[in-house]
This record gives sequence, structure tokens and C-alpha cells, in this order.
Amino acid sequence: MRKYLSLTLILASLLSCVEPFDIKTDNSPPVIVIYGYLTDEPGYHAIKVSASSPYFDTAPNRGISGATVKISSDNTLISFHEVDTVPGLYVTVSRTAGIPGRTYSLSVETDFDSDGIRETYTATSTMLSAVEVDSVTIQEMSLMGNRFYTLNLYAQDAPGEDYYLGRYRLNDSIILASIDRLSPMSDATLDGQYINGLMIRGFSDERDREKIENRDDGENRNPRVYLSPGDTITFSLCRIEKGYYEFINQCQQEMNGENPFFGGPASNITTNISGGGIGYFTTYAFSTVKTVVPE
Amino acid sequence: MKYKRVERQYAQAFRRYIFEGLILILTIFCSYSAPGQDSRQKATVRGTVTDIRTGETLAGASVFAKGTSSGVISDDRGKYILPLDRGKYTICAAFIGYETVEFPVELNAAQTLDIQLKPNVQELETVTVFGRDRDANVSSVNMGVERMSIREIQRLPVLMGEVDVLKAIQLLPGVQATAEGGSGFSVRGGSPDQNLILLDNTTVYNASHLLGFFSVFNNDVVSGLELFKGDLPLKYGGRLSSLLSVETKSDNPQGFHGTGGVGLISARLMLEGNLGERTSWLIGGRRSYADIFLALAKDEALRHSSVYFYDMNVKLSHRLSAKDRIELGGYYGRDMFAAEVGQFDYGNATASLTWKHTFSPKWFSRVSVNTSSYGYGLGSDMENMEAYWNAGIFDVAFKADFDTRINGLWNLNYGISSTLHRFSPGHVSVEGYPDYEVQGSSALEHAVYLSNEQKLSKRLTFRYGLRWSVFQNLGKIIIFNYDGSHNVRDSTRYSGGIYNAYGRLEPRAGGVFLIDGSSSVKANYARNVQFIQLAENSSAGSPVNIWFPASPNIKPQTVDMFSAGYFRNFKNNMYETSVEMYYKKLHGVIDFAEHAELLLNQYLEGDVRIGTGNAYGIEFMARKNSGRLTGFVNYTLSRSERTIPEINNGKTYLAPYDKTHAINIALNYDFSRKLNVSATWVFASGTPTTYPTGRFEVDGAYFPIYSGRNEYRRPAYHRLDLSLNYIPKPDSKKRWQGEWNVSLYNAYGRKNPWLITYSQVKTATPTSDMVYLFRFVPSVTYNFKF
Repeated sequence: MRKYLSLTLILASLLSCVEPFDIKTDNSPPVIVIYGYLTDEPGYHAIKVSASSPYFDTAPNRGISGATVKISSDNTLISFHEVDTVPGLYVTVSRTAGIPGRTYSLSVETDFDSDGIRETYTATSTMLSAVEVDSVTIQEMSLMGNRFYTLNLYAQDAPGEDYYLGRYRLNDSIILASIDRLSPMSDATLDGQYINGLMIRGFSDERDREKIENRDDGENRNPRVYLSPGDTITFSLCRIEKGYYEFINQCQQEMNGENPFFGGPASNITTNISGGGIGYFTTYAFSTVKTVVPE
Repeated sequence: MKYKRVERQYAQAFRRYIFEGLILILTIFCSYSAPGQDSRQKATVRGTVTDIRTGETLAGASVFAKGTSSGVISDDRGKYILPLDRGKYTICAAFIGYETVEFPVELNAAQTLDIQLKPNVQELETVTVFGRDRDANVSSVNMGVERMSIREIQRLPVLMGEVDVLKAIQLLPGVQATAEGGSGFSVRGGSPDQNLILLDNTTVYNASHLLGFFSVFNNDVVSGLELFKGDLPLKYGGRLSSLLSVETKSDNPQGFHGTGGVGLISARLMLEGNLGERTSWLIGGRRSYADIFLALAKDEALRHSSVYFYDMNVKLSHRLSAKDRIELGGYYGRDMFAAEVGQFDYGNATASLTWKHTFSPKWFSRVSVNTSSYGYGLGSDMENMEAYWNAGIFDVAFKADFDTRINGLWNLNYGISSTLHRFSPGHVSVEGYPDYEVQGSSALEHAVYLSNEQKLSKRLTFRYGLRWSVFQNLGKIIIFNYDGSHNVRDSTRYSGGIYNAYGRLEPRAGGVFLIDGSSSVKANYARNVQFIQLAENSSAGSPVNIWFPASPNIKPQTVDMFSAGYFRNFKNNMYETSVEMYYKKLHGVIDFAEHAELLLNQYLEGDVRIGTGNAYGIEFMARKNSGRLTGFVNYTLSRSERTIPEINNGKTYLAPYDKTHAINIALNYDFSRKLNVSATWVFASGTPTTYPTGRFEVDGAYFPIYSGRNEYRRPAYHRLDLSLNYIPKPDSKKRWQGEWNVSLYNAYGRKNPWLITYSQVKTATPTSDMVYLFRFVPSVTYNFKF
């Protein structure tokens, strides 16, 4: 619902001006940041271990090398090794897949505080079973003078509180995968119902590219995704844990600073990493369908 | 679609008001088509005699010109017409039980002189009054009370041509704006929902238009306001911080009159008149038209958008007999934002029916039924995402207040009130799916009170009283029970009736000791209780308000306030000065969990966090009331803190409304009867805020790690506004009188941060920006009356 509210900012945007502003703060001491997920798709899965830095530091955040990373569940152990070229990025030693219904525990062992003793940071997640997607369709829509494509979902929602995440591929490329581009959903308003063509994502029309890019110049933080007839969209509906849903929402809410009308006081993003770390570890299963952009 | 249906209802209601209003106006015009030439040889003084405290008109008061044999008695509506030869007079007004007043008058043409009389508590003293007791600052037992007349407010510089009573009160000591350009306000460190805002004694739940930039009060309709900063009269309760009472015009015009104005963003018109001798009416309306300019916007999306508000006030007053008067009042206002993707509208509707009765010159009553509602709706028109969301609050209240003056020792106010609240926190319908509703609830709020003002000696006056408030949750409902970590443990189903009740006693007492004729010391104590509160997190004053009641999970909030002050007037009350100190202790004060979801949340109570608060401060005020230069200067030094175990790791943090230093200067200078200029300058310490002190990275994007809650402050806020009022023909005998107001808001272009935002371009590290709203905003308004 929050999205519709941006409508009300039309007026404010007419009156406001923006200029760079220098915030002077003390810098908080670095903490360990752990982020990664395991899915039910066979393949290599990754966990990133890094250090936090001062907010306005111009150097990128530093990866933490030399950690021991593993995920365990019942009597299975999934081992990770560090990628040579990317410090702090750990991937599974072999191709592997999570099994829905199991609870997975991540452990990261490293001497982050350089006191000569290795600390262990842990997190757990239970992989929820996927919800079958019947189909998705792409429809054309015209809105405020621009042409759009919408992705519409057909699936049966399970009774009870559920949280979803869409993953997208455009032809062969993964798109909209970084945390700030995800659009997690809650079934609060349609619990247990048949999801009958609900619009869940909009894409721009390739034919409008030039017009939009001229207008959006400089604002390339969230490059738009343009579709043309004949493009294939591969859509996966992931059933995620509530905690991860909240993590994504909080990340998106906090990353841009204050929101005048609908934001709350600035609050730290919730983590499920224990032992003083921050970040998130989660698992999920998904089901996948494909559709082609119509002529 | 559901939205359309609701919108149609609003439209119909508005059309109905307009239609009825027009009929009324036409009737008046027809009956008034021949105003009749007045062939008086003499000039007349006419006006209304009222009780300064209750506003009751006084029948039978004598009004005479000193040293002449001319005198009249006010009629059953308190009106008098005193014919005199042209010349200089001293007009006196006297009435049994009231202090006699005198006014010097130079009579060249017909004049209006409304007279307010002060009840004579012990002995007859001759004081000259204008508006209120000239020495009220010193002699009244009230503390922490601010009054502004609409005339004073109208002279202040304005934002975009809109005279706004809520922005005017932000200039008073102890009152702070909660956001740039906004009408939300904080009183002595309290949150905006701790202010009880009354329009003619009826609650207004959201007093703002256009996302808070303007208030719902149309200055043509308003006569003045009173703000009680914590020590509320016993008659009122239900809020911790303040009572703002806005009164619409109540004098009965002789014949048909109107006022209006055309400004930068809106136009307004108020018409008033009488129907026979006993009935008077008023109708006022306002609509913004800035959205017309949207049609010229370059951006196509904007061209297809609309942004406007309108509001309407009506008042009908009828005197049944010399002792009975009935008033019917109403307000309806709506804001509308619409674009191709959907619409958003919100607004208040209030109505009141009041019966005022005079049992005897010393015994009055006021009985009323009031309704108030605030609601909003958000609709999405997007294909396959059609949805409509609405929510609101509805009240119906019954109030009976009595005022009995026996003698100097017994001046009693007593009464009862009872309010039914209906809370609708949110209802969503998504096309093709069953509706989703956050369970609504109902509650009753009752109060009985008794207070007495006692003049023990010429120097010492006390006022004390007790209010007993009872709050009852009722209805058929499922209440969720929460465990220690605020997760739902189980639920309890109630099948109807009252399932939870709170009773609270609110003692309030104060006294004034007159040191001499021009100085006094005052002290008081007040306890206030608040049973309903706003689930609001943002400081900017979102229109998406969710009011929620005390319940089995949430106890009422209370405050104990102690204050003391020294008051001194100089030069025959030309200058008023005061120093007031206060200390407030808040119990059960409410804040919200980090990342609380306030909208459409069934488990909202699980996101509420409860603790204590402290607020204290000292307010200095100096005011000059007469002469060419009038105005005031005030300075407030204050602090407001919260301590809530689960917020900020239990460490005390500053309330978002804490402003250490605040200075307000408002000055008006009359160059001539044609021209006056005004200037206001405000300064306030920066708003407490939470800044990011660190960041973490995920997938190439950076996310903030914050400092403790409100550990930093934004840059200080300051702003100068200027205005000029020009009356081309102040002595014109013509009926139509015009006046120009030219204002410049933020005259030296201070960039006051409204928001601090962060942005990051892919592959680069974050930067911060500030968003500021208004610099050098000029406006021109033409006001007229006839």
C-alpha cells in the first residue's frame, strides 16, 4: 500500500529543493557483516563476510578473509571456501541444494576483533516449501503518458501468514536481484485466496527508453528494466521467512533516509546474526515459470 | 469500484451544502433588496454586550454616554443602539454583577462598539476593557494561557497568502512547529496528538490541509483562539499537553455582510446575516486553486494530476427567548490528490447543536451534542491492482456545562460529558479479492467535573477542581494478548458490552497572588489523562492518521504538570511581561517499536512501547499591546525527554519535539490608518535526529548503521517573514472595503532542512542531501468586506 502513497508527494516535490548536506557524526566501530542465502536450487551458494565502515567513507567496505564458513542441518554439513579473487566471498565447495522443511544453521568463525581468539557468529533459518505458480502473464498498460508492461501472477495462496519474493530473469540475464530492487510481498490482504492475475511488477517499454532516460538523467541508481515483444521473462516465486521479508523492507526503507509522511524514526536494520554481527542469513524454496512478452 | 461510490457520496454532500447555502443566501438577498436609507440626524453607537468569560450575550445591561442623559438597555440578544449627537463621549456599560466599563469614543459616523463585561467578583471597580481585562495577564488566575484575536493573526506575515491560525500559535512561547511550513504543533515538548483542538467546542482530529501546510481554519470565519498549555479548564480533558479552542464568529450582524479574499492558492468567501430579529446565520467556504497551474506543467504526469482542498463552515444561531439560545454549527472539508494511478482524499466533518440557557444572571448552562469525524481514502486505479483503502475515526459527544456564581467565594463550574468513539483503523478492498479489515473498536469516554474560583482577599485568588474521567472499551471484539516480547500469545473474544474500563481522577489547582496593582505571582498543578492516541511515527504530520484507544493492553497516559510564574504589566497595561516555569512528568507515555508497522496492522498494540517522559522549561514573554508599534518577543528554554525500556536500549532519549532554545519575535507597526507592516522572526534549536554513524554493504548497496535515538541535532531553524497591509480607503463610507496583504515568507532565504536524505549511485559510496521547502515565497492577497 505504501507505494500508492508516493502519489501524495507530488505536491511536495513541486515545492522542494535539494542540495548536498554535510553530516558530521562520530564513526561507529566496525562490526562484522554476514549476508547470504541457501535455496532449493542445485548449484553454488554464497555467503559474504565483510566489515562495516563509517557511513561516508569513500573506500568500499572491506571483505573479511580467512573465515571458516559452514552450514549444518541434521547430519548434513555444507562447507564453503573463499573465492580467491573476491576477499570475503565464500561459496559452497560443491553444487548443493537445500531441502524444504529443514532448518539450517550458518556458522562463521573468524577473529574479527583481532584479539587472537576466533569468535563464532551464527544464524538459523528454516526453508519453507515453495508455492506453485500456475502462470504469469505480461500485459501492456499505459500510465501517465508512458507505456508499461505489467507482470501478473496466477497462483493459489496457502492459508496462514505468507511472505513472498519474486526473482526475475530477462532472457538469460538475472535482473532486479540486489536487495534494493527486490519487491517482497505479504499475503495479508489476500490470505488463502487464489491470486488471480494480481499485478506484481511493472516494466518500462523499450520504445520509451529514450524519453525516459532523457528525463531521468543522472539518476542511474535504479536503472529501469525495458521489455520488447518477444523477450522471455523467467519468474520464480520464492516463499520466504517473515524475518527476511522484514529485513528487505527495512533495508529499502532506511537506505534513503527520512520519509516525511510515512517513515518512522531512523532505526537499525534487524539482523538474525548472533554474536554481535549484522546482516542476514536465510533459506527459501521457489517455483519457476516463463512467459514471453506479447507482440 | 468502491472508491467511486464513496467519492460520489462526498460530492453529493458537498453539492447539498452548496445548494442549501445558495438557497439561504438567495433568501437573504431577496429580503434585503431594499436596504432603506437611514435618515437619522444623529450618529449611533451600536453593538452587543457579552460576558467576557462565557461569551453569553447579556440582556438588560445599561449602556450610556457619561455626562449626558442618553442611555439604553441592551435587548434580549444583548444588543443595544445608542443614538447620540456627533462628538466626543465616554461610553459606559454597567450590569448588575459585572464590573462597569468605560470607552472613550469620538463619534463622527455610526460606530460599532461591542462590549465585554467581566463578572464582578467582590467589589465594583472601574476598569476599561478591550477584548478582555486589560490586566488579565497579571490578575487572572490562569497560567500558560495564550489568546490571539483574528485581527492580530491576520496582520502576521503568511505562507502563500493563507492566514493560518495554527501557524500563528507556533509563535507563542512553549509552542513549536513540528515540521517546516506545517500546521502541526508541539506544546511544551508534547507530541501533536496530545493537543485537543476544538472548533466551537467540537473536536477536530486533523487540523491540516495539503499535507499539513495549511490549517482547516478559515480565517474569515474564526473570531479568535485560546491556547491552554497544560493547565486545562476542568471542563476539558482527554489530552496531555494542551487545549486549543478556536471559536467562529458569533456576533449577530445587523443585516447582510460578507468578507472574503483572493490569494495565491485559494479564494474564500464568508457571508453572514440575520433572518428576522432572532436568527442569524453564517456560511463560509474556501477552495484552493493552485491545481489549475498543474495543467501548465511540463510533466505529463503532473498535467493529469489534481491537488486541491476545500472547506465549508456553517453556523445558524437562534434566540428562542431572552434566556435561551440555540446554535447549529458545522464544518466539512476535504483534501484531494488525484493522478492517473489513483487518488487520495481526506478530511474532517463536524457538526454541533448547542443550547445555551440563562437561569439567572448568575447561573448559565450550555448543553450540546457534537459529532466529529476524520477519514481518508486511498484508491488505486491501476489495472489489475485496483484497490481502495479507507480508515477513520468518528465521535458523537454529549456535553452539559454549568456556570454558577454565588459570590466571591463560590464561582462554580460543573458539568458532565460523554463521548462515543468509533475507531476504524483500516479497511482494504482489492478488486477480485475478499476485503481485508483491521478490526475496528468502540469506546465511551465520560467525565464529571466541578471547579471553583475563590477570591479570598483582594490579593489572593484560588481556583481548584476535580475531574473524574472514565473510559470504557465496548463492543464485540477479539483482543490479542501479548507475551513479554510483544508477540501474540493468544486472544480473548468479547461478545459485546463493556469489556474493559479505566477510571482516573484529574485534580487541578492554581492560585494568583497580586503583589501590587501591576504584578503578581501564580502557581498551579494539573493532572491530565489521555485515553486515545495517534499511531504516528513521522514528524511531518501525515494525513494517514490512525487513532487507537486505551485497551486491556494499553493503559491511559497521564501527566502531572507543575508551573509557577511571575507576571508584571507596565505603563497602565501597555506592556505585559511574564516568566513561567513548568515541569511535566509523563506516565505511560507511548512510542512505537523500531520499524513498527502502523498501517493496516492487526497487531498494532504489539508495536506499542510504553515508558515515562520528562519535560521542563522556562518561558519569557514580553508584549506591547497598544501604540503604533505592537507585538511580542518571547524566549523559551526547554527540554523534553522519553525513557522507554525497549527503545534506544532503555537509555533516555530526546523527544523529537525537544528544542533547547526558541525565540519568536512578532512586530507590527502602523504607519497610518492605510498602511501597516509586520515582521516575524523565529529561531529554534535544530530538531533532534538520528544520523548514520556506520554502514554495511550487501549486493553493492549500502545500508545505514545509526547512532543512538535522537543523539544529534539538525542545523538550527530560523526564518524571517515580512508583510505589508494596505487599506486604500480606510475612511470610505462605501459598503465595500478592500485591503491588500503582501507577504514574503522566509525573507532572507534560509535553507531550513525539511528532510535529510541519503543517496548512492551504483559503485559509489553514499552521500547525504537536505531537502528544503520554502525560500523567498512571496504572496499577494486581496481581502474584502461588505
